[in-house]
Amino acid sequence: MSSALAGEEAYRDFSEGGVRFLGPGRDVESPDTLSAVRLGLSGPARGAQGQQLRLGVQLALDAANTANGYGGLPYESIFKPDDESWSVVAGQIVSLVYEHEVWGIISSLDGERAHAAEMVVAKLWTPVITPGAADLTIDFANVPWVFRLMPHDRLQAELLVRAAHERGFTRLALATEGVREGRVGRDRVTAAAHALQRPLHAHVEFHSYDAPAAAPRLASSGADALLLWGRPEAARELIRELRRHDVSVPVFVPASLVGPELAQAHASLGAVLGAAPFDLYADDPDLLEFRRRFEEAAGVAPTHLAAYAYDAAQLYLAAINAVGLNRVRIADWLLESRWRGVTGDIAFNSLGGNMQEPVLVELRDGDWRRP
Amino acid sequence: MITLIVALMASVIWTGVTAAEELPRIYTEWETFHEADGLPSDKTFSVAVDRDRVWVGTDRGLGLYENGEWTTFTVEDGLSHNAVLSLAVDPLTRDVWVGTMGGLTWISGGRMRVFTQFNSGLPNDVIFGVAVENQNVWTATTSGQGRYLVRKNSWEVYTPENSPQHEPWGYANDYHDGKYWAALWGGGALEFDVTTEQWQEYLDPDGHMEIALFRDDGIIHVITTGVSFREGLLWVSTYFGASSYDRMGTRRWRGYSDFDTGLASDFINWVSARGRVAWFGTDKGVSSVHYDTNRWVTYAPVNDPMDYTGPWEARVYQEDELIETVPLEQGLSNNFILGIDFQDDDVWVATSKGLSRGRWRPDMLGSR
Repeated sequence: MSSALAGEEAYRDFSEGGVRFLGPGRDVESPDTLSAVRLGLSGPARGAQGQQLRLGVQLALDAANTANGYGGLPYESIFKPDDESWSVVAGQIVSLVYEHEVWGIISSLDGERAHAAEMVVAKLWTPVITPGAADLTIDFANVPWVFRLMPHDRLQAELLVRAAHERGFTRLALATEGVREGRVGRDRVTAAAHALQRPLHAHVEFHSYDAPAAAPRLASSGADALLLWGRPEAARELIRELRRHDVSVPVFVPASLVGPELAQAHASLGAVLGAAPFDLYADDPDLLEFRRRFEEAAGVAPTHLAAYAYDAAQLYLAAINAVGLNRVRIADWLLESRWRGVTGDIAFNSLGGNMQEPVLVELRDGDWRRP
Repeated sequence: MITLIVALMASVIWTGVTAAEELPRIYTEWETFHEADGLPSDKTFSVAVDRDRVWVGTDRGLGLYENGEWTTFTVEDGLSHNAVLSLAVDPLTRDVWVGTMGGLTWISGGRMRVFTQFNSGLPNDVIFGVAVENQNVWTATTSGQGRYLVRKNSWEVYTPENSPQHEPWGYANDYHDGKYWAALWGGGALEFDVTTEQWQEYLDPDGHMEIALFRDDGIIHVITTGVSFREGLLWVSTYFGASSYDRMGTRRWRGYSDFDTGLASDFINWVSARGRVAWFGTDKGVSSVHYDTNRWVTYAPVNDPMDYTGPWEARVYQEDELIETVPLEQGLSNNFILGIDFQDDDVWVATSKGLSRGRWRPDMLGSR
């Protein structure tokens, strides 16, 4: 039973109810007519995150190709941009599988795109690793083809609520953007606050266009800390607007906001703490080497997303090396694997969720560092 | 090769009522079709019966079985995409509506017309469900519910912005007796009354995706995979079990899980009802249940659930108690079931490795 639901005796607990794919296909041999081994990649083409995603994957494939690829065949990534709308994702997944015959897909930085991908691969039977989506509902679709890397949003919400209270803040306000990510965040934070017996002081919903109107409402709420869920640009503008209203309370944000958008604006944001998926500055040799190689190749420092993209590609490479070019066996391997990546230990539960805990970081001089 | 095999009869305890009289029926004779028989592909997503014709959607084209012969239609014939996820037949015109992974195809009078999101009001090209409602056709897509008004040649699109959909992601649909139903991925079941044009959504009442607090309080899980409405009974499938709702009667919900019923597995890809009997397509075989008696008949491999080439059996349960096992000489073509439809007394089952047909042979069971 999840901690958020502790105390309720339920008819069914689905947490351990994940399934292995029981359909056919494990006996299909690897084809011998390929000119390349392709992985699909779906994500934003524009902006810093899109660049980080693509570079993370490419770094892994380049290293594999330098080491003779897959039995002499080069690895390739096929990229499909999903900037405009999450609704394009379904068609993109179809294209990656049917036209490009990819062996695995790295897709989705949010829950909407992850679910759209999930619905398609439940029919098309191709693995999807989500490098940047933390929505716990992805797991509870119970599709045995989808694997979530980032610590889920309920763990993030619990970490942030607990951290705020440990720092003596008792009147927590919640601000959520009026989009799906915000709605899901509201549910997660509310559940976490309930489970930790720390009821929320106030809740304000805002939109990307009305931060000037939302800020005074939050300012007058009497809150001594703010939990904020939404898209990076909208969240950044709301924090700036709060500071303009001389609201100096610390702001606690989820992993989707622990990225370059807020980091680059740090001078105008004041105290911001976040639930990072892992410590990007940990003294880990593999992570340090990844950071060095990424900066050398890209000229910029990697983000959490770049590291997850790199690990996602590495997982596929390891799976293909272990079981060959067979999508069912690749999915089986992912489900059963215990892998040490640059993002830490990766192990998926029966629902395909990585059992990783988030860590608290704070925005300090443009970097997200452990307090 | 088509195989017609008569089942072995098991020795059973005489109960005073012949098995042939009870519902769900026990199908002891199964016929299978594969690529070698003319099926476009062994991976069959969907099946729809039109009187003496059987349409089959596969990952490599649309198949038509008529007069003992198979015909294949692909994009070269005008189909919008070769992956055919969903099918519906207009009972009056016999037109066929084909939901693919690249648009909707309307087959009428031997001609095909393609609808995509670029040349029509279709919400999205990936069509998980298609249903005929009078002179209209509904599509369940990742971008909402599309309703094509055939006589007006126009589209209506329903999303969370103009209807009570918790999420817009349609995964299956059905129309019967004046009500359109959609299974929404994350949005439970959605009802549209054609006469009143009123919407109603049905969500998991405990509000938690991680648990089902009570068995019979509503939909067992909010991510739904199938929906079927017959005789006032709504049946909903999920990857965590199934639910029924007596929509036109007591308005009571019931939950069904594999540990407290005869359900083959909680992982359910499909549900189709005929009368008061629902058929569930799962990853471990097919199950059927009668709503009033809670009597189940499940068809599954005897040993490992994935050992579909090994022996199969029909298991009869009263609620969760196994009361009879009937060995089948020929089982279904695979345990992973994706679609079901009915032809007179027979049942057609789309599996992930071939198509199966259960022939009703009351003479075989009645002789016991």
